Amino acid sequence: MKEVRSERRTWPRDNTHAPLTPRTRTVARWMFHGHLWLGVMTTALILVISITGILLNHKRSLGLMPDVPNTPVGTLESALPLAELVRLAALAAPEAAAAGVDRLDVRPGDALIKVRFDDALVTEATLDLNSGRVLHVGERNDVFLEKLHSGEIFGDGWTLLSDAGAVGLIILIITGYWLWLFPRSRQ
Amino acid sequence: MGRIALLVGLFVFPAALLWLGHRMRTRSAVQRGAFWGGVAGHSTGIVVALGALEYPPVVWSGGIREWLAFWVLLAGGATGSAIGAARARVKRD
Repeated sequence: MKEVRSERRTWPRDNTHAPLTPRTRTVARWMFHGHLWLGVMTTALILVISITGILLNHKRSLGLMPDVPNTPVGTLESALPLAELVRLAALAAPEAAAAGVDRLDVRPGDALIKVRFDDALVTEATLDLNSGRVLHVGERNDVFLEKLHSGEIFGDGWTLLSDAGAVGLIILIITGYWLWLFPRSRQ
Repeated sequence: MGRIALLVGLFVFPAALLWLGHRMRTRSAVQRGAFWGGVAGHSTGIVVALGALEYPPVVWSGGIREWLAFWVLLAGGATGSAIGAARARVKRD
């Protein structure tokens, strides 16, 4: 007669597993130390990236990015020329305008144009596309936070700092998952 | 120079602390004092650096804010380690 083996689990648990192979031990050691060292060494960096990320997600509600309401009074065809709009923006913020124009952001739906200057404070003037009326002049704090988030604020090539944080986080996830899952796979 | 201090404060100092914290029972009292002082100083430095980097959210242009943003991680950790080691030495003597 064929013997039927019981699949029931015993209690207390039977811990008579096969001993770990040297390779498994090496992997376990690498996972543990990798998690430990990377976790400690990337703490400050990941904190900066996380906090700036949260602030950027809520930039409008926190007032880091100006939200300028405008009711369109004309069509895009009747808009003032770009050069004229930039001139009016420069009159509204002469100190910032001395640094030059960084970029123009045209919003035909809201009939407004945002003229961002290349100054250290990242000043931006918002004007009505058709009348040229200055609706708002202020700092774009979210641009600074974006640059800090990416590491760009420290200079060219410093985006690698943000990359290092991201790669560190990926490795932390993999090693952390392994450290959590591997002991359970042997139970 | 500030950028090098930032990198050392971000990566090298925590790695040195981790090395110092390894096999703590075999370390001398002064080394243990330096470790705990460094942990306290660097942790405080992280909080101060986060504030200095992000508030106000405009680019720094010299002054105390720029110094804190770049140097406080290293300076905080080193000062904490020095104080911790000195306290342990005084207690031992």
